[in-house]
Amino acid sequence: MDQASEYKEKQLQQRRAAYSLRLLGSVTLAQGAWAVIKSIMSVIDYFSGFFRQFDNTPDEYSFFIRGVIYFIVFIIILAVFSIRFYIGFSARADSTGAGKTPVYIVISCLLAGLYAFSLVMSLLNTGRLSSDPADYFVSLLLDFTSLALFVDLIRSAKTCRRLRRQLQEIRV
Amino acid sequence: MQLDFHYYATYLAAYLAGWSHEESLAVCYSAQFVDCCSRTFLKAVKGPVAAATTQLQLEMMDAGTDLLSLQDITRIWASFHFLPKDLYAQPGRTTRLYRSKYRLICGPYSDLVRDTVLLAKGRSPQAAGIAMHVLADTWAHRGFAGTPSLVINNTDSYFYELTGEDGELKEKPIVFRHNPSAKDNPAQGIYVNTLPSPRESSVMNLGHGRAGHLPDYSFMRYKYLPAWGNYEELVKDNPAEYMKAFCQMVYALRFLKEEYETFSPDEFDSEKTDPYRDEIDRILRKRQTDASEDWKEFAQKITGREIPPFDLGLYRKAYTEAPQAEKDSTAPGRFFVAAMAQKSMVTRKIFRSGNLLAGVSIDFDKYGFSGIRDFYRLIEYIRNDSLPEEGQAADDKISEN
Repeated sequence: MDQASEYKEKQLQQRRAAYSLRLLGSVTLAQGAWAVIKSIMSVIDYFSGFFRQFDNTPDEYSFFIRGVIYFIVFIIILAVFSIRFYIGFSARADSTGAGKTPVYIVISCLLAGLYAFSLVMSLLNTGRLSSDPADYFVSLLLDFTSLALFVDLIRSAKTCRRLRRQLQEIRV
Repeated sequence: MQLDFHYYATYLAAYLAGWSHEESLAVCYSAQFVDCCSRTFLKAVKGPVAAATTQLQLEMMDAGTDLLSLQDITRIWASFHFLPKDLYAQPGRTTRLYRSKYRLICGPYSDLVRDTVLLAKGRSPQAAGIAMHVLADTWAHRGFAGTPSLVINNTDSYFYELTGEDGELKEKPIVFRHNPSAKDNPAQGIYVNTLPSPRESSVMNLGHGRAGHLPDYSFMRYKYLPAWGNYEELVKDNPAEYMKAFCQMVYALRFLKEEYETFSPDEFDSEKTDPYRDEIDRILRKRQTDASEDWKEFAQKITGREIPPFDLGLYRKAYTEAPQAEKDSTAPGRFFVAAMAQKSMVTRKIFRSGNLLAGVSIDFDKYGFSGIRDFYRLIEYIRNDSLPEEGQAADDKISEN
């Protein structure tokens, strides 16, 4: 294959990887947004029952405790979303060549590892299967989807960056 | 393409090919009329609605996305504005539906272009005009299909205008807006295109809607990633392609004038066009959304005759004022028959290639099948293999004005 054909072929592959990376970045953002909504709904549902115990004797102290707990939970949710927020936007920027650092790839690797661990633990711990099978399988599916998402994001990011570097070298 | 090329440039091409001033006007009027002959117009003049060669925006808004409506849309747009390049193309391992749509992608040098020009041989100037419109559009609309399809006609943000000389091309990103009432602004690189629609069969994804009017501007050079292209860039050099379209039109019109015995879709005229190439190139490269004035001035300078502006009312008047028995003899009447012939030919070819996107095609004459009443006149036209006695009234009016 002569150099012009090789350049063109690499260009096609790099474009394909870039498009994939941009799409996966968008999916990560959407997943993060959904995680926030889901968490807020879960928190409201859980703490409604928890705080009902204190409603018999409401006073300033119980309101303060309630406020602090909600604030901490909100910070945790924000932190969870921020990580995906950062990964999503970094992936989209990297797809256009604007991203410089591969930090988001490292974080994606960590998250992928966490999801893989969660998936393995879920498969090994089948106790929930008998108590709530629907919840068990849905959790498995979501964990698997998130794992696949991050693995594909990492693969696309590395391919995109590698080919971009090679194309620059050929141009020079 | 738009009025500047379909009307004025076609007039000049016909004149250079040896057609008289009056004949050239009949050809170019018919070529431009392909962009105006909608069902709304036909109903207003009580003409055969099967002869529609275009659809207005309002008609498109009312069009459904069921199978029959999509086939109806495809029949019109694929027959007159997006003539398929290769009805037997093989896009690799794909579904049958995708393959059918892929095969409707428009392009020059096709067998259908040859068939279109051959169909006009020995027929009226109106038939020649329709053939020239179809031929010219195969160059401008290259890469798009005349069927609503997201997976074929969609584009994205990778859209760049190419400026500068060939050795040092610069890329300028093109910004699209979705305001249908706004005008394009070439100076600022802001253009209008159709709204992005995720639905596969949305009319927003018909033809070159997603690329706006860029394919119709003769000065534009641009590159983009077509949805069917598998991430490969498509580079459009409109000045060069429009020049080829013009030269091919002259060659085709000389063939229709019987200067040549055969027509090949990959041949171009140079004998008649070379003396004017520089001026034509200057007009094509001039950065303007409408080159009508330049083409008109140039054509009038060469022919020494006045070219009247395009007036839709002429055909309307000629058809409505003619007695019923003589309607087919008028210029619009001959246009309608030629349009039905073109639509029948293309639809038949698409159907016979195993592609159902343009619907089912039945050979009425062969099987004696009683079908659409409008097509009876087409059968008579083919059987007689001649035109109805030509009425000069409408053509004279066009040249007098």
